[in-house]
Amino acid sequence: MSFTYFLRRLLLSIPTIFIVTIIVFTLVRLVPGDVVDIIIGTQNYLSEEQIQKMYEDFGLDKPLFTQYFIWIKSVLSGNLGISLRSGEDVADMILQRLPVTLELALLSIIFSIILGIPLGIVSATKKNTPVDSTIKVLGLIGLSSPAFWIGTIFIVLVSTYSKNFSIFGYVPFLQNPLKNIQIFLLPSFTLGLMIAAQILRITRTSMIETLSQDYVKVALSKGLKKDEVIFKHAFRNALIPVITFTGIQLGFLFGGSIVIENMFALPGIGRLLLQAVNQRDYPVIQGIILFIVVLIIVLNLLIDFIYTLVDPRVNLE
Amino acid sequence: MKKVFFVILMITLLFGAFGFSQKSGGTLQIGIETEPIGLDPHLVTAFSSFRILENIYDGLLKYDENMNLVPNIAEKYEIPDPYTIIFTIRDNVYFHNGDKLTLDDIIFSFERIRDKDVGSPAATYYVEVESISIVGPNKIQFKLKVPMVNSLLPNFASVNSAIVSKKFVTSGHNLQLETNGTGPFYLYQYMTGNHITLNKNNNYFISEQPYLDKIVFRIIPEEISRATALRNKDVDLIEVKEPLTLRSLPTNNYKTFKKPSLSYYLLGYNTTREPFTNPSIRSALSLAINREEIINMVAFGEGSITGPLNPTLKPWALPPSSFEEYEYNIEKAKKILSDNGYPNGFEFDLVVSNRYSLDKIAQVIQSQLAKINVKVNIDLVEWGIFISKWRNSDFDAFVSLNSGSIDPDIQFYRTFHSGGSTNVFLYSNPIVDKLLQDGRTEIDVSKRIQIYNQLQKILVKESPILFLYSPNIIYAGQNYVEGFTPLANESLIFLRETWLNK
Repeated sequence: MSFTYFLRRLLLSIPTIFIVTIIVFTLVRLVPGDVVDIIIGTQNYLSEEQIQKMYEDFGLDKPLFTQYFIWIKSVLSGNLGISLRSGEDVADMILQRLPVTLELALLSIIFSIILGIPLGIVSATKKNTPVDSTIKVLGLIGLSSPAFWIGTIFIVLVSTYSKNFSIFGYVPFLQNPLKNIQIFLLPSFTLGLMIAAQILRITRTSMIETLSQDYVKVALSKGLKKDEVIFKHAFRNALIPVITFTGIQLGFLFGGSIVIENMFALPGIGRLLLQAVNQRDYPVIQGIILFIVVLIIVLNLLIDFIYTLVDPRVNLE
Repeated sequence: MKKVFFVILMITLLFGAFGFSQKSGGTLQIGIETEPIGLDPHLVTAFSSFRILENIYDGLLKYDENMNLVPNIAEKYEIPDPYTIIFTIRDNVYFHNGDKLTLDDIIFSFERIRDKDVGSPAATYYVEVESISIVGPNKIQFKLKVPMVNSLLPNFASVNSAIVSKKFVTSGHNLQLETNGTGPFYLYQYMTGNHITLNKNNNYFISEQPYLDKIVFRIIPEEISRATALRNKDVDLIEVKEPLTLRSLPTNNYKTFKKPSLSYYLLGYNTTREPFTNPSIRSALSLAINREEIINMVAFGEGSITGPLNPTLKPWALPPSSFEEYEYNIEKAKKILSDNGYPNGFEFDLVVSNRYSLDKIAQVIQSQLAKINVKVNIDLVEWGIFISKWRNSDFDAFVSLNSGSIDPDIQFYRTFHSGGSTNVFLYSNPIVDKLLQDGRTEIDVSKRIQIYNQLQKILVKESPILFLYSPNIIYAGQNYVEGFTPLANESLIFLRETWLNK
């Protein structure tokens, strides 16, 4: 894979990001109710003059167009702005929450790979047997059960049967590794289950397709052992769609773990985003979404790169 | 032998008693729903910020358990005439950074609140203050333009009137991010989205308080998660928002702390939209809504019916049973509707959000009004949209939760005066306006009571809003949590007197 290819991809992502900023900026402001409304709440102690001053202080009295340019200019100079509610630096807020979401996302992906890929392979190699059917049904249950429901079940079960298991009270890994892992176990397993179900299906389909290819048949007819054919020859090729999917999931987990972070009281980016939306804290919402978009673009690039490692036939020129 | 036994018994009892009175030390973990939004006591408007900050900052006055105003930083106050309040300030108050509190800090704090550029919501409380001056070695005098000392006093207990350090603020510290108060605890660590740790202020002006070494506020947004955290002993105390949760916490294992709150649920009408322009129609709906049933269905009995003023607010409140419009009488309601041109009922939109169980209350109201052929279309919207509609009076009717106040003026004036800041019902009645003005400036308490009695009767008769009920404030905790009591205004000020008996 060449350097020019990467450069081209990077350059192409600039207009993408630019368009996303416009969409995000406009959509966020189209939602009725603004930050001043939320501050006032239903207990309005402020005078009309004070309310007006608040709009001015936040720069919300200017035309939307001007507001956008002020924001994008500050983003380009590396400044994501300041939270309208707490006065904190948005970039700092994101960086502070990042380790939590990152850990949650990675652990979920690990869980889902450990569960999904082996089950998918077993299911494919034992196609149309009772084992296959059982795995397929399990996968379907995983796919169709919402994360908040599975999460609730876990919380209730654990609190009923294992009273000494700590579910809440996040501590950073370096501060207390054991407690940290314990806290992450349930939420990442909950999220992992859903993704595992999808990985299982993709692995199964992809594996079945690969196994029906001529080179596999040739390898088998040459007298190679079945296991060897499956793992040495077919597995690598079957893995490509799985990698694509897993990579994209990792990106989505950053924004999509909102419900789980809320439920398990984890101070991650998803919860920050939810809170910012509830409070109409524009700079925070815009900052987080921009961050997630950039992250997904970078992840996509990385996935392409991993392709070339897994399958040398893939040429990214 | 008996003597020996007696001595042993006495010693045991003594130790037992001593052990029991051991109130100091320990960390209290408390599970709360929402995290604070900003830390500047003069700027915050969110309850979630108040609850943290009232343990870090002090005002001149505070509330006791029964919501009576008692001295705090001020050791006493005098009211020589209805235009004047003189506070005598304690001599042993220190900020968390070690600086001694001076009268200058107090003057500075109120100047900061009143400063237009600061934009403090409390500025409106102090509009009628003419001057604040030092009138003795430890005395500060507030001089008012109008004789409204009575309705001004409660504001001194608000977090928005906390005393800050002049030196700290003017040297460029950002109070939204840093704190320096005189309260029983100081902010030790704030990990956003996760927890807030307050440590004991060893220099607090009440020498034996606070009892706890540390309070950790754990932010756990989901109710089921908070209850689980309590059961798993991840926390010692939790905020209970849904009374249903109490059923999963058996009383022999857990303690509950309850207080009727001053807040009240209300059904508000847009009095400029048909048919709610007609007070008779509004009061007909009052007759058809069974508020007892709402409390039972939505709050599982954890609440009490209220009139315009919370029944616990003595001597101001008239009991809810004294209003004939608040009896439950469907036939009478139907008759009024038909007398006023709606024999077949009518239809209206009811705006609610899913916060504070507003949507559930709306559902009960919907089914109750169906009995008098009034069709309610529930318009369930997100909170931000709700507030936007509320502010712009863009509704036929809505259900909401308002905070009450210990002084009727604070609660009524902004709500019912023509053009009042929360008069989104667009209600306007010259008699009400006059009474509100008189109540605000009347000095004689018994005359003031007369005024507000009359006002309450008019408000119920005219029903620009129907007062539904006041929910109970509920906390649940481990059995060893002692000394804690929530206040009717949802304050957590009693954390300074809380201790762990374990």
